[in-house]
Amino acid sequence: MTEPQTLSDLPKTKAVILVGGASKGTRFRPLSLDLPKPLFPLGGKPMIEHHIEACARVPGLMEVILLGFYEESLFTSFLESTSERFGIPMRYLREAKSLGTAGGLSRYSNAILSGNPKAVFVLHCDVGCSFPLINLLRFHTQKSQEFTILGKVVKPEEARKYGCMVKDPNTFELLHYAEKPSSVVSELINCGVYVISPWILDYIGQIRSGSQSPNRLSFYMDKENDIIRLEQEVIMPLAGKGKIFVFEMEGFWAQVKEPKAALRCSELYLAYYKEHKPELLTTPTTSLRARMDGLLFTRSQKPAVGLQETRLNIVGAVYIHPSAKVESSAKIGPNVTIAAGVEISAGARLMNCIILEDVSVKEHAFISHSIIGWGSVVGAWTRVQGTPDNPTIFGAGVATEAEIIVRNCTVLPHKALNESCHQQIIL
Amino acid sequence: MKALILVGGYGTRLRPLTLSYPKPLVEFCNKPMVFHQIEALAAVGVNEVVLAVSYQPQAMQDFLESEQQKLGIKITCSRETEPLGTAGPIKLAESLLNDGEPFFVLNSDIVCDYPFQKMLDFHQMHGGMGTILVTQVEEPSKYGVVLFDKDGKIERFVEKPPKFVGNRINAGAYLFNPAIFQKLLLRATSIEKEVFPELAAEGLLYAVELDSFWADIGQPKDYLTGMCLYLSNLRNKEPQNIQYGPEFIGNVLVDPSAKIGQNCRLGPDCVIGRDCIVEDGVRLIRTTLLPGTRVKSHTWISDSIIGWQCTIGEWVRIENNTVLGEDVSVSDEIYVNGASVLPHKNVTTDIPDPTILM
Repeated sequence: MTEPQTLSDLPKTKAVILVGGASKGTRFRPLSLDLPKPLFPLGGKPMIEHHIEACARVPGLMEVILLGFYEESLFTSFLESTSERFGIPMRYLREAKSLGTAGGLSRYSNAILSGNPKAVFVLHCDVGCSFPLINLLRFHTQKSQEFTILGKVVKPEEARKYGCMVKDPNTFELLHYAEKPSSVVSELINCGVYVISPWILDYIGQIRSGSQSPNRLSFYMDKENDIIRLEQEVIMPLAGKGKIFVFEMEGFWAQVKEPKAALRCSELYLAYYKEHKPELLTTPTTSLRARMDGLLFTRSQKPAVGLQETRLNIVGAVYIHPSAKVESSAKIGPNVTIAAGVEISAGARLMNCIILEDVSVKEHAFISHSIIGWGSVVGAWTRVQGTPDNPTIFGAGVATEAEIIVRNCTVLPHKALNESCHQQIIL
Repeated sequence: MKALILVGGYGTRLRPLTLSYPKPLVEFCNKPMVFHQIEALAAVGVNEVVLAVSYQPQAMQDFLESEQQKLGIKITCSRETEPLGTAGPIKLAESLLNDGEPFFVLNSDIVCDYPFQKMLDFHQMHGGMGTILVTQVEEPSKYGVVLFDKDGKIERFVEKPPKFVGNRINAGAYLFNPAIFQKLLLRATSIEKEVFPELAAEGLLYAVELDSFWADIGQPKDYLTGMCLYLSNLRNKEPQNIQYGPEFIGNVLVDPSAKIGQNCRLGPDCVIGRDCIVEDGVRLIRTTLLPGTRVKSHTWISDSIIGWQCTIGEWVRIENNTVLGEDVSVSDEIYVNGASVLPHKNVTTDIPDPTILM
């Protein structure tokens, strides 16, 4: 990736992150029972912090707006601390009810367009990627100027899970779009990151009022229902009409709908850091000071006493929050993130897992392909394991007895597990 | 006189209902579970009820503040910050409960026709430290069996006996003298396994029989069984509260604000909550509709609990101990068999086999 020569040629922009709401996030349960999905940590940072960090690096970006229908209070402290840390104004605009992926954009177009941005980034919250926003914006101003979609080529069997796009190889125009097609259409998929011109918000407004509605299903004509879907009702009708263009990205991309996708996406972020920002990861010889400088976290915690120069037993890409206490006889990694306040006791083994705040892992425990929720306790010698396609998930406050195995289970918050369990959802 | 209700923690056995509201506030036969007990206590002269909780969501606090006036009785919470078992919470609440008089302790999952006056009279007569309510059950090995002599003095307890030793079990309601506080420790202790056996050995405990129905409603299946027993009892005690008419079969309880359409057949053993709407041609059997739910025309529901604010489509069939959480919608013409559905889900395809839908 070459460095852009001048960045002053980039126009003023804004960014809108579509965060959704509580009743939409049910596929992310049980984790979303205790924390809104957009704030769930991937690679050690809240999901949307990656988006915001990328936005903050774009010159001329005036403001980041979170748009959704969650309760405002859930985002207040995150917004304050993130806005201050990245030095960029941020706010949360709340839809009274779900308005679909486009409805809120139109409803709040005045707020979004205040300050006259020439272009607006629109990003779905539940994607993880390298966010090449500067190059995307440059492409938008030079080639597109109307509506630009970030795309990526994936394996054919994967492509059908997303929006599939056919683009003109010379003009990069979007010729055809099919959302989750049942047959093969294209290997180029919609990454859920867009740059749009202000007039697109008017266009959506016209759809709302009914004067533009080629794809509206009769269900949505119901007066009560203001849901407008960006992909089906804005992109599809405009495909092939010279308005939409596709910028293809290299680098990693993943969508996070279910907890198993969070594990995979976290792994991708960790691999990305290993290659491009190794100072963010924890290594056996990382000193405490370097670890604290390298990664700021939403919670400020005092560093663990006595851990200053202990050599940690680490394999592969691992992130450990500075305030976590990890015994040197524990073996951690690959692909492990450990959040603030966690205690990992002697002889524990952790691989391919996400350990959330204040978890306690007792001696000789084994955790693999799992997500362990806030404040949970894993007993001594207990084995918590999943598989990449079916990880074990603990909600908040789950406590297990010692010496049991919990395999391919999903455990709802605040359950106590007294005996081994396999392949079940534990309510 | 005071009383303690052992509420406990997250009520996980009653999920998905308790994902929306704390267990004491989940309605049973159109009244929050804890109200049944508080009203029975108030009727016998209890003036303060303490709720022993280990987790106190804001919803509970707000609700109790607003309801105290209505019930005319003082309600306080005693919150444990570390696990105290089934006996520790009693010690924890000592300063709230000890006014020199005997006090009641109730298990929050129990519903029955509490004979509190009978317990008080018997307690005064025998002069022991504690009186325990016992009830006869068909399968005693699932519970704690109580063995007592002809005067009611308890000889011993047998927890979940593998072989038959007796069929009276601990019904989860007690009356204690304040002297019991000396016998309790402020740490995780089991009242059934540690405290009671010790007191029984000293001849300090007495049993009194419950003559009416009894049910532990801490899980959905038992909730429905308890509902049937409660409604049957209600027909005897307050027949004016049971619905009569061509569309009602057996014992059916309907909140006055609910709307029922034409040509329905409801019952036996149904409860229809506040602001529910039941459209034409609906058949309900052994089912509770929690408040705010709409059941559309021609739908058939049996042996299930439908949560608050649900919308059930037309020609839906729901059966086999299905529990729908708050704000679940079921599309037209769908079949749901034995599902446990978490709040805010949309059921758009059949669930032909028992499963949990998260």
